Amino acid sequence: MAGSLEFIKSASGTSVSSLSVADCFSANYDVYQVLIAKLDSTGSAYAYLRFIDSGGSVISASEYDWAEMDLTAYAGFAENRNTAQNKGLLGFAGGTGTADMGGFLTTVYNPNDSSSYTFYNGQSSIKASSGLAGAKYIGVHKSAEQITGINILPSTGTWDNITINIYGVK
Amino acid sequence: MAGSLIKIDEEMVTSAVASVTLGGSDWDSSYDVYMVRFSNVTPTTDATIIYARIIKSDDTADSTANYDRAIKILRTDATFTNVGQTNQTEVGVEVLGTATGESANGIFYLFNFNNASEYNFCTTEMSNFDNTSRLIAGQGGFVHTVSQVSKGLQFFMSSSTIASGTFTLYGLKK
Repeated sequence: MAGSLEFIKSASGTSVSSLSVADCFSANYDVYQVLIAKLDSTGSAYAYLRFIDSGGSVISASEYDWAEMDLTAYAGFAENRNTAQNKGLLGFAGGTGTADMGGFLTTVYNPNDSSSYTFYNGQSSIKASSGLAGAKYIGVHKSAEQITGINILPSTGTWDNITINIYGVK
Repeated sequence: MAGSLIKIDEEMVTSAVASVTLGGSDWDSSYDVYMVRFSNVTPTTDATIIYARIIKSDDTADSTANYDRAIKILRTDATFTNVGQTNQTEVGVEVLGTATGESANGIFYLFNFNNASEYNFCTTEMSNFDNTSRLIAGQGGFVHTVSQVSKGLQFFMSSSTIASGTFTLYGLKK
């Protein structure tokens, strides 16, 4: 039987305020893996996501709920949570050098289903100036609509380098 | 080159069922590690709990009080919660509801299911909207503290039925 984790597409950017991967979600899959395997930023930023609707627009309405835990080697674990936000939190995105970046692995559920909400969860492992700073996170986009893509943005500054790979779980 | 995540069994619930079995007579013992994914799972009856149990070698669910669980519950409404339980007869997944958007979604990994001399372990990652329209999900794992060969997972509700959802079992090829 053929394999069931299928590469869909990739996108890269340098010196960008955000990076979109358009038309990566379809009726071919219910569940996706979004892998950010290369990332460095101009500031000490958190990474967020926004979804892209069926018209190709990045959704910035206050429709995101999220909960996230910072897993730090140098301090107690911090909790972050919020509702009705205009973007969904992933986790701390590390320092300004490529050597500081590990990766984010995010699972996205039901994006193509126009009658359900789109959920995500994931984890990261990166390095902050003080040491290891990973995260565990969950989130939901609270609108029953078809989602066709994803946009990754920093809380401040820009992405010096970013690469996003999208896989479908068949 | 063929992929390494191999689909073994899938159940797509479009009309109410009492339970969903992944594996059982469809189990393929070729793998050391398995992945279970489920998405858009909803109940027929509001405020009912979806549970999981291990499928034994005779293809029936194991309801003995041997399930231990340890998870961190991420949630939007309150401080994150630690849950530790021992000797349970099942593993609670989520309290589900019937309002718009309320559903369970997650990925579990299964370990040692073909090893008669080891316990069955499972890691859990989820993102759910519960019966109060609250984002909440337990991240962690559980163990069934009996050394036995097992053949998958069963999902069922505390009462009534599962209304919808997609459940899929994969093997991770060596």
